[in-house]
Amino acid sequence: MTLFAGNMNAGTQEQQIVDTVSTIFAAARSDDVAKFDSVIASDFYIFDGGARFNGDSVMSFIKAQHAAGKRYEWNVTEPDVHVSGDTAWVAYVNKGSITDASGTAKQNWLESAFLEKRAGNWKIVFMHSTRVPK
Amino acid sequence: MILWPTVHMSKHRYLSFGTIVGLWPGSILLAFATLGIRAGSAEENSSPTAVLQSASSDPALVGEMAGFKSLVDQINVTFEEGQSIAAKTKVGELESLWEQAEPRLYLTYPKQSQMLDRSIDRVIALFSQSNPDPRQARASLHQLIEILSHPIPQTVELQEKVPAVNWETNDWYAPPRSPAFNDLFGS
Repeated sequence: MTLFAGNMNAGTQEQQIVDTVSTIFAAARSDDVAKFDSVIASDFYIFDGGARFNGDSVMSFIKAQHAAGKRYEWNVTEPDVHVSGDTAWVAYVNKGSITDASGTAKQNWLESAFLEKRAGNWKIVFMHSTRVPK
Repeated sequence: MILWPTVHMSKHRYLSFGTIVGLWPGSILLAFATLGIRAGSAEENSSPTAVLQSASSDPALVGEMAGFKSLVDQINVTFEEGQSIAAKTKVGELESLWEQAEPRLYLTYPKQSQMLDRSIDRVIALFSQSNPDPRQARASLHQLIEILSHPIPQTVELQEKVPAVNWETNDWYAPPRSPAFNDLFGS
């Protein structure tokens, strides 16, 4: 089932999942570790940039990027959500931009996330990100 | 969400003086050895091979730096030859290459990664200007080459401050160095 974020009803499982994934980017954008930790599982990790990061290391890396004057913009679009009981996965196009010393460049990533519902809340267990070549 | 594209480093390699004259590798080195003359230390030699031979560094880190060192050497030579457009193109390659490798290197060598990131950013900021100041360009490239030539093991806490670069105007700014930084790379 392919869903589009703008058309989904608030409160549906699918919308909750998209919101959960969006929260991780909002948290990363503002260096908000508490918010980041609130939507990831304790054993969370992500394959990104050719490396495996856990929650702490990916936030540390992003903080370092921010400290170096770099800014990222991320937006979850075209989410394709699949729910089966207390597990779910979502694939989406992350449309954003990177601002650094050379200016701002639009950038898309193809990403996916696996989630589990723990104690009634969706938690991201695993993510994978691949940059779309320009 | 971080990664940059697969970037193919230029396969172009500059011909060394020795390659051009042909006799250098053999007879000249033999003559130097006979006379007790050093042909050049690793830090004096800009080739990746020489960097890999540096005994004082973490071999894995030195290996990681070799590709960057080669590209920055090319930028330096191109710039010194007055080919500003070609130098800027190569700086773009450097930026893409670095941003592709940075996440992975950060996990293993966070301090070196951040230090290198700052130095590369200086070069990028400078070469983003329409007319890079030659003195500043040269200084930024030489500093980057120095860092790439001496990728220290992670045993020293660097206190170098984050450079206050104005990205809006791309004004280049030489950040103050800490004593630890100067001890490692010279003042």
